Amino acid sequence: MILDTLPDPAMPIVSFAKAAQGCPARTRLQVDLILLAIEALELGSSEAILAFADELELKGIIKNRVNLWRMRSSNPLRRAHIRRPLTIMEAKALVVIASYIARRLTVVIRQMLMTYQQMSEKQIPLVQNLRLSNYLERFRVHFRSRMNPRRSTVMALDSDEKLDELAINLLGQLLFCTGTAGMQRFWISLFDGEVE
Amino acid sequence: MNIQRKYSLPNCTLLLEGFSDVAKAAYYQGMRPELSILVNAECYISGYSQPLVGGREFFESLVRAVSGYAQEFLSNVSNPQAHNQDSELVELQKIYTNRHRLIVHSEIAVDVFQSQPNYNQPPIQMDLNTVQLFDLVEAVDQFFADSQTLPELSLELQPVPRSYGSPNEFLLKQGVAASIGISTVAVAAIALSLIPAPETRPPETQEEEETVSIAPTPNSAASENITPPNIQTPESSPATDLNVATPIVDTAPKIRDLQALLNSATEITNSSQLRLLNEKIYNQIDRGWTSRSELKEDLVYRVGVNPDGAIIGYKAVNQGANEGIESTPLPKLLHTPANGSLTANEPIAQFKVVFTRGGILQVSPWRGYQ
Repeated sequence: MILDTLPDPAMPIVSFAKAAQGCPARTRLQVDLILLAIEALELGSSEAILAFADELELKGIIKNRVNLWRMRSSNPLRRAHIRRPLTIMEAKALVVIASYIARRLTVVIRQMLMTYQQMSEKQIPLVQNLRLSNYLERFRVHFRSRMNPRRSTVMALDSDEKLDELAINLLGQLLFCTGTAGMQRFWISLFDGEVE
Repeated sequence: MNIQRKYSLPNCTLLLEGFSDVAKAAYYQGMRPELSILVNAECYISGYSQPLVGGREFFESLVRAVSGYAQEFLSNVSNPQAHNQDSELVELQKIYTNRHRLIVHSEIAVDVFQSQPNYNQPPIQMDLNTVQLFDLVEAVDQFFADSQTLPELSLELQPVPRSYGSPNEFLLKQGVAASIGISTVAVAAIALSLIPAPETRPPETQEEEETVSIAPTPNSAASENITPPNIQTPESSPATDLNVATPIVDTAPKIRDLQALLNSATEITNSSQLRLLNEKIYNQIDRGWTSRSELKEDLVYRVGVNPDGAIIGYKAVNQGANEGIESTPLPKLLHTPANGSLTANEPIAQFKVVFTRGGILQVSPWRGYQ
């Protein structure tokens, strides 16, 4: 199975209690954000996520739209945050799908990052590039409509500039997901600082 | 037989040269020969005409640092593998979101008796943007995936253990103002408590002290207002010889502030974290220390550092250190937290920093490694 390409992280020793909680909060947040970036990058990607689940034979884990939404709502920053665990298997499935979609979008992601680099060097406002500004704007709209403004992390991201920065960061992470070992690298990075 | 392997990406090309172990080569007849002995490794980065060149030690260090830094880029949690200056030739540092610095230290062994090690041979530095960095990582990953080239080196990914990073801050760390924005209650506390004591801002202070020393009597009233009430002993005798008075006034508040800081924050004692910070502040101070020949004696300071490696307080330990503070880069490097950006109580690490008369910088943890 495709999920076997991702190793189980060595979770903390108190693993019985932790196992019930599933993935750490940072993992849940990061997985949801990378999917949010994909949604901002390409219209109709929430459909694509389900389509890929089908194609990669992950339907047993990501059953349907509601199921997917509940998984993503395990992100503690969501307005509709649900106190449900995100299991390691579910997180793996989402990471695999995100990496596959990112791979398909490699050219776009590369181009946008290059454009961003050139424009920021010449100090040209990013709004002058249609593709980049569309992505950034959609990301801001998605982020603000779905994240809970009362959470301190969300509160800290109170300006367009800060959200743009986050969106560009996520774009860079998506680029890394497209690499030969990108999926594994992204997966392991989700547990940085979470293991003993 | 000479074998070349090339991993080529738009912004980065990795070129490996070597030959195969003859005994093994017979085994793999008909297959692509295995490059098992590396002679030369070259890494070309777009925008730089000169490649990075080295032997096996350099190449191994390069793949370790790149791999570690790729993980740090993804998680925003500092990865010890990427910044191991003591034992690695290659390290990578984040400048800001879209800029990453690749540093390659000279492979020549440092002469112990040389007074300024590495000083004459500055490390090679290359600044990469995110796409260039990705191409470098991808070249390394393609090498890892190639089972016929140095098969004993393979991709090994491990999450960074908890003690290294503070993952809760990761979203904020993604902001531009990461280094400026992240400060702590402890830092703020020290900053606020330092306001009444002018000595915390060494450049301005020094001037004030000088004024005092020129005209002691009229200014004593003013200095009474400035100095906190608890240090009345020295300034109550305005007629005292000022050469003696100044250092005392100078020292007292700094002790108190560093002490206050330590009372309000936990101390970092984890040896691996201390090693990382040790390296960070060594680099900072070493780079900032320009006037190396000015010292008449060794200057010793006790320095407080936050987990990001910013210097948040210091205190002179010996007499000369008080007077010689302006010959050191410490006042310039003192990190003042940006207003209103407070996060959770941050732990503090303490280091002993010695500027020797011979122009050598020594940095070690105040209580040693545990």
